[in-house]
Amino acid sequence: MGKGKIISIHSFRGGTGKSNITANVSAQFAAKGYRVGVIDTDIQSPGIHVLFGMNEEQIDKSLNDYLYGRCKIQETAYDMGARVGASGDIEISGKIYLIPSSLRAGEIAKVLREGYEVGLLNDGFRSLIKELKLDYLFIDTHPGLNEETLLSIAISDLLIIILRPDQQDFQGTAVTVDVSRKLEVPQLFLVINKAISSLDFADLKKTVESTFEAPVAAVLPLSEDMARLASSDIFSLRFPDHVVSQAIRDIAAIVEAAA
Amino acid sequence: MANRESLAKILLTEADASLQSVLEVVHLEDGQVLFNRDDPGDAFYIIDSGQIRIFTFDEAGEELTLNTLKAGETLGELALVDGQPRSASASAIGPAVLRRLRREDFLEMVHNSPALSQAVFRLLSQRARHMTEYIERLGHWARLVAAGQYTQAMANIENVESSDRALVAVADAVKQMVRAVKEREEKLRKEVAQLRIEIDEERRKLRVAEIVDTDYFQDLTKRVRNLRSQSEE
Ligand SMILES: Nc1ncnc2c1ncn2[C@@H]1O[C@H](COP(=O)(O)OP(=O)(O)OP(=O)(O)O)[C@@H](O)[C@H]1O
Ligand SMILES: [Mg+2]
Repeated sequence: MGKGKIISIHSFRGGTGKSNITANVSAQFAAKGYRVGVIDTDIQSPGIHVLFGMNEEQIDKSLNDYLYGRCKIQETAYDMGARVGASGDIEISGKIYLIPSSLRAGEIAKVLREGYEVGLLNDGFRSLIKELKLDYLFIDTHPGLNEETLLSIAISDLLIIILRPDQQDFQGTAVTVDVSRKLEVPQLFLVINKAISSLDFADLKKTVESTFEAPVAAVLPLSEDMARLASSDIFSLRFPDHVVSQAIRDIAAIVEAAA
Repeated sequence: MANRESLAKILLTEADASLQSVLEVVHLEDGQVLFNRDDPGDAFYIIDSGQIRIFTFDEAGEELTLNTLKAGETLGELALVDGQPRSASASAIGPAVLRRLRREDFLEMVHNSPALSQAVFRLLSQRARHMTEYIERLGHWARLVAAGQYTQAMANIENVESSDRALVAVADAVKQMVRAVKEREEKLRKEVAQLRIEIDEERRKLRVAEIVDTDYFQDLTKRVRNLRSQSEE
């Protein structure tokens, strides 16, 4: 039986690096030998499949099919073992499954128009953990605080909130932290991404920690190398010696110790 | 730049006999002014005893001592040659005795002695070389500072030999400049790096309330509490 922990990765605003960090951290867990699942709950604008090198043709059944009762959730899980780490030297001794959202325009429109029974997400998460014997289920969320995001946060064992050093991110993060506390999330960590090099990282970490009264798991620099890879691969597996990869491993170590 | 020839030495060796007849003894009391800045430069002095302070006034009108000269030293060399007004003032520290050589007498001596006039040429060309070297050094320091190589600039400045007062003074000024530039730069970097986090607490409370005060949220918290207590069993 796996540990079965749910880890949500969230940010108030979009484009903070949720999908990249989720894919990287989950790949690190798989490399450590854990069985992990990654689920894309950003049904309105799915994205994390790109990091695993999947395209529309390769996605047959998706989370949408489960939510509309067309299949069981475990039928929407794709084994990423062969794709992940194919380009690097790091061996994936564990398992990594991706549960993608549909990329079909019609399916996305249907969700936006009709919505879905949000409670089904919770049942789905539990079934996945059970059926796939997962140690960790990572949830890549839609930015903002809509109902399904609130649910993801609420049922998480550990929540990672990503923010950039930007006034708008600070304001939104403050709201997200407060709401998460009201939802009694057992563990909450902040990750600062895209920090420009002229910032004093240690000082930034301290300032953010005291402002939000929450621990900062890592500060990731704004990296041209990462931008150049353009979400086409799992950065920390391809460039393990990079500072960004070290920060990703730091996050993985903190999450592993906490949940 | 070591062993700079002084006009006093030249005068005393090349024109000793004729010199003694024209030198005029000057007695100064403590604080007495020998000449003021902008006075006509009409004489040269050899200090026999006591001390002479060379000073000017800074922008705030405060006296600024540039140099203190002791017995055996001379002042006003260039005035003999060019007769330009004094660039600084001079006064005695304690009682002092000097010998004065007036410009007219000096010029007459030069006129009558080829050896002395050659010595003056030598002195002037030496001064010109000296200035060029100054400027080259300053240029070198400026390039180091421009390149941000402050440590190297400082080390280079430290190497200035202390016998040359004027150069030491320039070196000191450059040293202060390097420190000031470095400090300002570090301060600026800190200002850039010090990110302010400003949170509008009113707006924060409002937003949180908008979310928390919905039926969905209330229901969700209850359901999650149940789930958690189940999984703990
Ligand atoms: N540390 C970084 N340095 C440079 N670029 C980064 C960094 N982290 C992420 N990026 C880039 O930022 C962009 C957004 O990243 P990502 O898609 O992971 O964010 P997201 O939060 O999932 O966005 P969305 O809200 O749209 O889902 C991508 O182009 C990614 O390559
Ligand atoms: Mg994303």
